[in-house]
Amino acid sequence: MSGTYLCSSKMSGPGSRRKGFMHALEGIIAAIVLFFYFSSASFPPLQKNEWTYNSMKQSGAEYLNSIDRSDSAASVNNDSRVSSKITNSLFESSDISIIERGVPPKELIVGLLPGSYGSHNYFKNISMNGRTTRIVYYTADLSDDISQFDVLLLTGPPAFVITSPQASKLKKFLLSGKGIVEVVNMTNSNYNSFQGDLFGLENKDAAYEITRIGDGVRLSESMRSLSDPLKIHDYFLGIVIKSSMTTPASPPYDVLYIGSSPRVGFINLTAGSTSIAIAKIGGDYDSLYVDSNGDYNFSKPLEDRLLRYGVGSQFNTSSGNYTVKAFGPGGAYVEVLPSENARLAGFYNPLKIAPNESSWTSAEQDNVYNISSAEIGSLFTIALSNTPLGDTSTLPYSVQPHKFSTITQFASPYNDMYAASTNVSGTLFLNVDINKDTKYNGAGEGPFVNGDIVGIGPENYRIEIAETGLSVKFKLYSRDGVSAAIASAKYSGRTVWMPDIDWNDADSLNYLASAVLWAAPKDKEIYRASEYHNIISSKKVFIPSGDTFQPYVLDFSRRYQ
Amino acid sequence: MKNKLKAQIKFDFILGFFLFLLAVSYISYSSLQLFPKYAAQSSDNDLKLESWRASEEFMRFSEKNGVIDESSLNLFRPCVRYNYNDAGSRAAYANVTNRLNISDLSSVHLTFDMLLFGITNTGNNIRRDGNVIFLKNQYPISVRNTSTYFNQVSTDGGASWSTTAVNVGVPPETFEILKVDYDGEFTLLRKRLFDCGPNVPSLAPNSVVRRYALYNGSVAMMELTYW
Repeated sequence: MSGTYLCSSKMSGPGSRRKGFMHALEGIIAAIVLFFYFSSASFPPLQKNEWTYNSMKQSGAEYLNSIDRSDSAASVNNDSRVSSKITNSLFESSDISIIERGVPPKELIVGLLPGSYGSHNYFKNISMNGRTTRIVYYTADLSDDISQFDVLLLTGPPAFVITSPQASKLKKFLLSGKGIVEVVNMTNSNYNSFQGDLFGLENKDAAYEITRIGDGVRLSESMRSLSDPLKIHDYFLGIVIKSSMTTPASPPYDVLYIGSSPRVGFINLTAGSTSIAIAKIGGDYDSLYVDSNGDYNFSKPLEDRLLRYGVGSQFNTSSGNYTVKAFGPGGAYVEVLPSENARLAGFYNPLKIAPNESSWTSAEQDNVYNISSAEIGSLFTIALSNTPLGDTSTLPYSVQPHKFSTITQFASPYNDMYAASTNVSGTLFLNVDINKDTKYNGAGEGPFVNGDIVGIGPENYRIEIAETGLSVKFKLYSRDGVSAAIASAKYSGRTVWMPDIDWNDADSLNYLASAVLWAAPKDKEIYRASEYHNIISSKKVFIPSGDTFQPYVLDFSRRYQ
Repeated sequence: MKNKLKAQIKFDFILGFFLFLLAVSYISYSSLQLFPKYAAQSSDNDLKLESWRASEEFMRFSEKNGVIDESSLNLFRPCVRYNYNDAGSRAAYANVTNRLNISDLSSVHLTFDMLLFGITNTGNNIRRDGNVIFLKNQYPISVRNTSTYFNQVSTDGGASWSTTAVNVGVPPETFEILKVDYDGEFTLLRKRLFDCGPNVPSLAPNSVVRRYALYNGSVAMMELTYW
């Protein structure tokens, strides 16, 4: 731009105009460069550091660790609201937010459908590992707002038949992370596709038969998750059965030789009530006796008075072993906890129900389902040939030569299933078209190798593929138990179905309570700060010991300005 | 062709003058606004860094696996409230600053508190009772409401009440009442095991670090102020 005049006669003519244009361009470029230089030089970024974040995170983690290892851990962690208030008062410069994950809330709001409140004996409070969950019941109406409930409890009779609009509402309820527990005898009249979609039930009435083995019900599940590693069974093991004890009437009671101030009562279990007595041997009530033959005579047989159970001792009942947890003051009651082998009875459903692919059996009868009359351990063999069957492109190694067969061992709907073997560099694989869609890539259809278990309906077969790939032996390995309760975790929420229970027995009520606790949402925000925006989090897993294994995660967040 | 006028100013001159003004303004702005910001931030970062480093020195020296070692802690205990005119006080403080590698030009105030949590989970709006755990033993503790909120604590079954300090344990040790929950659900008790160094000057830039560890089965809090 140097040498340019604001007004100059040299700028006349086409050449001068071009030169002037270039000078103007230089000026513009120079102005832009100067602008960016000065703007950046005037507002240089200050050096940032993560001091606040790191120091707060470190001290927060140290605090949580110290609390967890301190002698006060149990009492402080027992009530997360109090724990958060204590923490808040220590961390003055920031607000504390605490979220408990994996532990039932202090208060659980249960909505009763279809409004049968009062017709059953519902449980009010559940204590486990020193934490009490208070359960509050309200009648619920699916034509109204149900978002305020944590868990919906569907009970009968009459059986509740879910309609399409109701199913949509229940699905939305589950999508919000809530739970539904259904305690209804499932029959052909109230089973519909919504039961499959929401509760994971599959009607197997036409396909399965039942092999009767016993009357007991085992509690089992296969599924655990990090956010809630407890199964329904675990909750069941942690909930006490509280039996009221009274001064015995004599006769029929004979409690002469079991200690001073004896008191008697029953543990009401589905497999039968167990008559018990408690007495003082030391200074206070400290001994429990079991009336082994139900004659109210605690001297006959002799074991009735010789076998004395203190706190922590296990005794046998008609429903498996139970452990003495505590004696109430003045012998008013005794608390017992079920042991791992505890069993229930009376969980029988009229319809043959099995879990579908998205659900699992949480309790099963001793009775088993069958689709054949074969004995456990018996064999059948299929011969394979080169004649293609079904959609070979769905086999895992489509370029390999395959051999095919049809399993004709079973009646409908498991008749004429295709099977195909594949030889990959000497390793033999088998696929079975279980769902008979002529494809080999469905759920549970393989590929299987030698020794794998193939589930055909409720029957499980161990397979042995011949080295030639021309035959496969199926050995009946086991049969699935009849589902006594089915759990599912679809649509972000949880569901449990069980047939109608005996509402007067302590163990069946406890199983229902366990199901409600399991289905309840367990990510509870104890405290939320509102005005601070920056958040740092520390997570800590707590594993309280006591009634049952119950780890939970405390998500500790500090908000600061 | 037009004649040049005498008062005509060269564009170079205008631009040069503008650039000169800009340079002067920038230098003034920088010296008044930018450099102090940098200096303050640098000083602030130094304080934070040094305070954290000193807290690390303390934790490294006295803590093993998250638990405060009693014998290591005893080395800090002679340092009490700082008195410049007391040679013993100065020596004890110098001993602590040496252990924490504090430069002669800087100062620290170091406190170490043992905290007890009294959980008062039974009772009513007037009085609530519960327990406090000290040295693995459980002792009864109560809080009561003499105003619009819970404000007093008792550890002798309600025989005496205090808003400042209570005795806990056998033999009894005095704990300061740090906090009584307004709703009476808990109370925080504190025993200050040492309070070392001069008072923190209120106008001096400083950095505060709090660290937590376990001491005799209770949560302990170390607070270090560096300036």
